[in-house]
Amino acid sequence: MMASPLFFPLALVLYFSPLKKQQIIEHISKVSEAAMEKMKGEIVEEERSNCDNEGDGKLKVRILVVDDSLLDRKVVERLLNKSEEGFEVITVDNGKKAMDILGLNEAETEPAAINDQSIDIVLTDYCMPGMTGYDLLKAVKGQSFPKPIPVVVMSSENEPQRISRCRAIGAEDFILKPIQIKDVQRLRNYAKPNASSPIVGSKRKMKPLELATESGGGSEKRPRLAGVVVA
Amino acid sequence: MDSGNLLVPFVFWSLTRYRPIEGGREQDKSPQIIHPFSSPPNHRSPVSEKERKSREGAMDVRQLQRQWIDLISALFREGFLDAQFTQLQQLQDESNPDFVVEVVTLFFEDSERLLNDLCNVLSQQVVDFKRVDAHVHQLKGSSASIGAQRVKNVCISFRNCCEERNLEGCFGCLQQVKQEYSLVKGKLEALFGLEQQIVAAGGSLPMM
Repeated sequence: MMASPLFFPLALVLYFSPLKKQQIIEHISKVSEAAMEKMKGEIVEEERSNCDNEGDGKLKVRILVVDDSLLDRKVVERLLNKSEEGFEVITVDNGKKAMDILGLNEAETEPAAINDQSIDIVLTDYCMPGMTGYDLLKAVKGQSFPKPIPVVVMSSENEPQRISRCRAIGAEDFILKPIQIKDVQRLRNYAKPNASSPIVGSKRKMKPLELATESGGGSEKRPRLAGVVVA
Repeated sequence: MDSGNLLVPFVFWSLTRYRPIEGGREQDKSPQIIHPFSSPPNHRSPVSEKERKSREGAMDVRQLQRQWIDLISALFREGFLDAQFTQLQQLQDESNPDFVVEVVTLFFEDSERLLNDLCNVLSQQVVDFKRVDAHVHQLKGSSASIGAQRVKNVCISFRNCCEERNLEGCFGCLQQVKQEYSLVKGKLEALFGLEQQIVAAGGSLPMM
């Protein structure tokens, strides 16, 4: 096969041929540049998808605040935004609008419309005209969402009966108004942000997801993703 | 070369201008070096108009800041404001520099509307105590949200009168809540007025 008498000298010629050598070198560098570009692209893509979710390094929690008082909405929104708990705040002034956002108002709601705004937690005032916070709590807990949504009720009245009523139908917590910084930290613990699908096939070390600690009701835990550690 | 010829004599001449202090053991005065080509130094050089105004402005800011501190301390000491107001101040920063004024303005609007509604409902032939209670509940909520403690406390008594269907008590509470609201409104407006003056004079609000 190799036509041995010719092979060796031919290989030598090829090896020492400057033109061929140059071509080989150029080809190799082109291939490696392409490979480098591809790898860079993958890294940027991975980082971008991480940034979309992580913001300041934590997953953003979408919180729906329901309160008929503009003053209270303003204060709560500011408190949530200024805290370093990574909240994305949506506010509405009544229970019906909250139901719309959660996709609960339509008689025949398509599965895709249920919580399509990806609300992670609802914080509702108890006393509201029309649909009260209790009514909203009942509606949310009565709906089987793909992922249950925690509901925290807030009220200016420290009434034990009111509190036990809310807890009995599944409220995660009951907070006295005006809410404080320590209450914001509790809210963060109840919420489990809607994470995007994990990046599979990556040979990068994955950050372990934070498991929410719960002091209230639900027993669900987020699945821990298997990471691939770069050797 | 010519200047070089003059340099050495010049140096010697200028040294003759140097007068050390006699008996200068204590050295309480530094030797007076008189420059040959300038007039003696005048230690009472006039302060420029600009500098004088700047110094006066700085004193004004300090005075305003002291007034602000005195006023707000009194508001807390006399129970007009509680810790919730401090929380509002802590929520204010460069990204939200008018947060406290905005929130307190909402409180003023809410309160005036509710006090008006309360007057109307209580002056009906047949008083609907549930409606009275609903209005007082809202007023209590607003006052608690901004830390207007004395208004909030009167609202608590007011709600008790509603529960007891005590009309005379309700009228008394209405007068009291109007008075407390008027007092805290006046003081908060004075406080915000001082804040505006401080900022206009180039100062900043003291950190509480």
